[in-house]
Amino acid sequence: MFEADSSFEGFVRRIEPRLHDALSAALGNYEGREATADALAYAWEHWPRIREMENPGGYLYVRGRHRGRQRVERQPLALIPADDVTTPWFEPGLPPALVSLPTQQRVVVMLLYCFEWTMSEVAGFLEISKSSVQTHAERGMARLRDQMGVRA
Amino acid sequence: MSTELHSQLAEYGRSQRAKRRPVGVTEITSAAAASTTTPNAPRAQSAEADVCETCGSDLTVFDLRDPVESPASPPRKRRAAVLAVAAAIVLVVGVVVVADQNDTNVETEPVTSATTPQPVASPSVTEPALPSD
Repeated sequence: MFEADSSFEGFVRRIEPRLHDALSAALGNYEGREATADALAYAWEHWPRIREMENPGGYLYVRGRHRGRQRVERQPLALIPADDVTTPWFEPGLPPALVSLPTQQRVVVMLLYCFEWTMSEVAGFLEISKSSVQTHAERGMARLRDQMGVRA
Repeated sequence: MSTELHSQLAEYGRSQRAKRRPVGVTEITSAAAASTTTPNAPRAQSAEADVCETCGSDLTVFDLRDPVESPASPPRKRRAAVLAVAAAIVLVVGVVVVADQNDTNVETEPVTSATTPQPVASPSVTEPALPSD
């Protein structure tokens, strides 16, 4: 086994929760974790280059999402296990409604409202403008309300 | 109702995070170590010593070991053989094409002497001189 230097350990501690949030939103629970591990392993292998990047989290997100996409396309997106009895109560229609959203809308809605990121954090991580984040969030929430029969 | 949707989403996110198993540094470095493409991994050391048995000089400087015994040799030889065959084929095809082109040029060359009608000397029509009385 190879020892990771302290800067890489700090990087993983800082970036892993956010990367995991974003990739779980994009790819589902299981694939999101796999993609996070893959992306961080890639970061370890290319650490001298990754450490110099301005937005390494965003880069690893794109890479992890690309690697995980082919696997996810072969099976339905699983955001939460249906037989998980430890899941606290929430509207049963919420996970399927989230799954039915286009990926970018789902990622933005989940980062903003499920994982409680700020608008600036989402825009910076995904490298899109705040107005795009706003648009995706509004459209995603409108779709969710429609599907769940919720009035604004 | 809309705020209820927001609170449900927040609850959903908390439950997702609570069930999550974070990816640790150890897991990452172990996976990278298992990969053969890891640039950070130290190179596998050869079992044989890199020192000349006779003079004791360091062989790693110029790599004096016999390349035939090196594991990288067979693919390199095969690649060289394939390249040689490909070059020979290209050469032969080129020669055939050039020769064919030369033949064609000879056949299509216009032969002016055979097709141009030769001027025929018209017989000079000379009136026979009338016998003078």
